[in-house]
Amino acid sequence: MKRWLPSLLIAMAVAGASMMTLAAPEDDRVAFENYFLTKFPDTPKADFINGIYSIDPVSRDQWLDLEEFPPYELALELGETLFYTPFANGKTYGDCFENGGIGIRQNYPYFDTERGEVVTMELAINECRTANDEKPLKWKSGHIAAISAYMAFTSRGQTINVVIPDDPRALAAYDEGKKFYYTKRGQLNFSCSDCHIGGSGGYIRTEKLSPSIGHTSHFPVYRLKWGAIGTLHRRFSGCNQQVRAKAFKPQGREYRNLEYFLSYMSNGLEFNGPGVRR
Amino acid sequence: MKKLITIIFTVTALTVGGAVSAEQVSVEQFNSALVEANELRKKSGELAHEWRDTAKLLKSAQAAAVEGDLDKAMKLVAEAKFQSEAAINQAEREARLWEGRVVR
Repeated sequence: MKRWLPSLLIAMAVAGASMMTLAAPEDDRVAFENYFLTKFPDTPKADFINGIYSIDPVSRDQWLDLEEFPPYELALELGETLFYTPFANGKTYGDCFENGGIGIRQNYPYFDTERGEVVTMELAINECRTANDEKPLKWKSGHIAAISAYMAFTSRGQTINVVIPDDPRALAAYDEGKKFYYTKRGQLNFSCSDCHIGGSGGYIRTEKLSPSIGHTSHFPVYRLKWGAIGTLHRRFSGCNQQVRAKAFKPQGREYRNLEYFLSYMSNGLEFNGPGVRR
Repeated sequence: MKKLITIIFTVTALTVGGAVSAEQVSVEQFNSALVEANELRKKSGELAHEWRDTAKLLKSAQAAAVEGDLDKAMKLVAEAKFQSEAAINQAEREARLWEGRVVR
């Protein structure tokens, strides 16, 4: 008994530490969800995928009108065409992805345990191109956003399922994204959480601030301000610049990890991209 | 940045060439302040906290120096330096404080 007891205790401690490590993101997600459910008791949980329209009845009506002839439709058609147009070598985007790239968006971003890093949808699209001897696309808008929009469209109605595998590097990526989200930066000294947790439902100038839960469910989005469809990292970049911080490179480690954290916070909700926003 | 610093040295040397030594010292002071402010900007960037307008301020300072307006150039460099120092402080502060904001 005495001989194997220390070994057993060590094994239990290791197993316990591992479970605690893996439990932390889920604890974060539950606390995150509960915060918004308490703050906006009139909004059903499932409706948070509609962003600001889930808490602002006036802009919701305008949005529903827009959705009758959605401004992202042209980008969606372009994306579909590009998605099925063969590369010079005869292959298509579908050859790079599981299930031919259809209905998989809800599983992105994911942590690639072989590479040890977060892979987003747009990163995978461009890596598909370079693997097929095509030039990579620009990250923030244009064709990459159109292709991503089409792939998002095929995932509408699927449940967001971002996985943090049992790999300390995955947890480190999640933690880095979490730290980014809660860290104040820029001359205006704002964190993402300042606006989209504490400030959600409040105003910055004339704009009502959206709740963070469900934030990633509808990207890429057609923004009326942009007059075009753009990627999530374009939006991250814009947010950083609005608080007068230097934006990070789209698809750089910082924004990919932020996307990983933020998408995990929306796990269990429905994916509904592409969307339209002001 | 290195290219622009070289330009400033060249242009300011041409502009104030033959001027009194007090003005030459000002040029040296400007270049020294510019290098120092730029190093601080880089440090804030390494800490992932560079502010949006700091590099623009340094570029504007260089442009003012090229035009011979060293007073304006020095003010802009001072502003950029202040921003970088504040950004570095922000990074150090946030490393301690961010966890306190996590929703629990």
